[in-house]
Amino acid sequence: MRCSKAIHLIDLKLDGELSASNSRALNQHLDKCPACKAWLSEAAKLNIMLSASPDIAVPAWVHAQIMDKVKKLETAKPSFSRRFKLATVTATLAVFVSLLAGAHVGVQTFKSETEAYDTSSYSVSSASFGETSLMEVYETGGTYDE
Amino acid sequence: MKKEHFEAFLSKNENRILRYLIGLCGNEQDALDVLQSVFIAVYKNLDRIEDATALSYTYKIAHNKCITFLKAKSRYVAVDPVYFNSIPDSSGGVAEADYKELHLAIASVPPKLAAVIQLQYYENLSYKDISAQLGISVKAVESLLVRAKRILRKKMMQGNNKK
Ligand SMILES: [Zn+2]
Repeated sequence: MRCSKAIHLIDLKLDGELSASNSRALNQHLDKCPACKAWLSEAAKLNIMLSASPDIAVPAWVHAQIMDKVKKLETAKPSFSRRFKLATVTATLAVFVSLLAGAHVGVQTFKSETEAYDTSSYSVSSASFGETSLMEVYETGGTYDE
Repeated sequence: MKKEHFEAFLSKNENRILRYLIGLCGNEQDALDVLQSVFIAVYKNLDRIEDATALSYTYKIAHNKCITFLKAKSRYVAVDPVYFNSIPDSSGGVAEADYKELHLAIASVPPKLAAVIQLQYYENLSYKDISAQLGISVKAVESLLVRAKRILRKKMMQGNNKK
């Protein structure tokens, strides 16, 4: 085994990632190579120091404060997905109502052509009724989901 | 990442990120302040964050937030070893000085390298577990660790030679 390979395997050994077969091969090399053996104890120092680092824990109040701030973000503005859903519902309702209103106007216009002239004023008022209900649906749709 | 998963993500990773930030900021109080802004930034970007790479992303945010924070305070304690060496050691022990040196060394490597070092040494995770935590391959973990250790050893030696 070359020393460069051995040095790589020493890293794996120290990290507990060395396979059994590689472990045997490395030990054979270490028995014959004082330089790599010296490197093993040198390299182990870093592992020992790193694993001796003290425990660090985030205080519970900091965790709570993060959650608190995050929840405030949530109430400050509705999420994009919520607003999107709301818009979809409102738009669908609006289209539906305007179709109904349109059909109604159409029927009334057809009637006004066959019946007396003054009934056409009724179709105009029904059209404006359609618009009002559209506004109402939009408003209730807007407040209902909030 | 789903909003419902945020608190679990926070609980699982807050200590890791705090440890990293203490190294970067140089003290725990500043690190705790930055920690809050890091996780709030994560929350604001949840819809753009993939579960698999969320922790890697958080390390990156932590790095950036800390740099911004230190710039605002206009002091670069994290990248100035002299600062730490000039602090009188409470215990006077060599081990503590070495530990500071190591902390500084970790703070000076890119966030991805710092992340693998932390998961490997402080938490004793296997390469496989680290790869799952960071959303990278096992081979990538291995080569990142080799790189990280090479840099750390070099820095530790430079630090020791200065004394
Ligand atoms: Zn050798």
